[in-house]
Amino acid sequence: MDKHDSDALHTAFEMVLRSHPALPLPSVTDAAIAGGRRIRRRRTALAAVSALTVVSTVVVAVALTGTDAERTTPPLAPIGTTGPAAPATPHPTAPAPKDSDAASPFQPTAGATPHQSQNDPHGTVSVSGGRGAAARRVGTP
Amino acid sequence: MRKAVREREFREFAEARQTQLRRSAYLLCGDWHQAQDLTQTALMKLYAAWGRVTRDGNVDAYARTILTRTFIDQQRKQGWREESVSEPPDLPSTASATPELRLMMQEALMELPPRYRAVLVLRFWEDWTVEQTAHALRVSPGTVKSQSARGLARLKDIVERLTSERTGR
Repeated sequence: MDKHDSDALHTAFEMVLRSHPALPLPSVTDAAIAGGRRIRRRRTALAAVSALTVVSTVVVAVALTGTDAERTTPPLAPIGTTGPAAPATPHPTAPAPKDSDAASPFQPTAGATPHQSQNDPHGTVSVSGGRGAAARRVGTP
Repeated sequence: MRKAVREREFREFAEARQTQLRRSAYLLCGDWHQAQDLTQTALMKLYAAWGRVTRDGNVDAYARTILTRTFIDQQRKQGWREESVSEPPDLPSTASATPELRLMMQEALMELPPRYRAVLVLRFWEDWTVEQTAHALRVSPGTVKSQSARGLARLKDIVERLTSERTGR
């Protein structure tokens, strides 16, 4: 868009205004002030109502929270235990005993071979389908 | 006290600027009575926001922004297209060299879609920059540029068509 277009359009606007001179219309200042006051009043009222709504919502929420806290029952113990549930650690890790003389229930007995169950003349019963050391020991004397 | 000061300041501004605002409104809507209503609505909104506007400064630009936005909102809500193009002007044309041309320009301007008209009035009547116009119309500067170009091209087409219609009569 060049300067010529811009000037031409400005001239056209002037022409339009000159061809239709403004009517002798009354001032709108008083009406504008009255309308503006109305808008302000409405806005103030809306803000007050909004604030009141927020405050009442917060009060109700706080009251309900307090009631709920009083009603809270202690957590139930897991089935099969007697006391209240202790805070559970997700994966309790005990350090693995190194070179310990204590017999671990998962360690094979002396002299046993990994394929003992197959060679066991007494017929070891496997609970877990014959897999694992613990399963192999089930039924052994 | 503050209220009285606010009212006095606003009254001074409104009395000084309402004629200019009404002229801009007339270029937008093409009818002096509608322009009067538009000016009153814009001034009403301005009064409601007077404290903030005076703090920010540039009250005049703010008033014109409100005026243009109000015009576009009214057009959108009411969905009316001005029928005043086919109506006689409010006052008989003043004695001038080219009354026909003036009437044609008015007609061509009123045939433009309201948004294009608003862009052209702000850019070329108010001499606003692309950025100011974009802010007033809540669009991007790119949109203002494209709408200015399209509006101007369409205005030229309309003027050509009207000219050929009148010379062919």
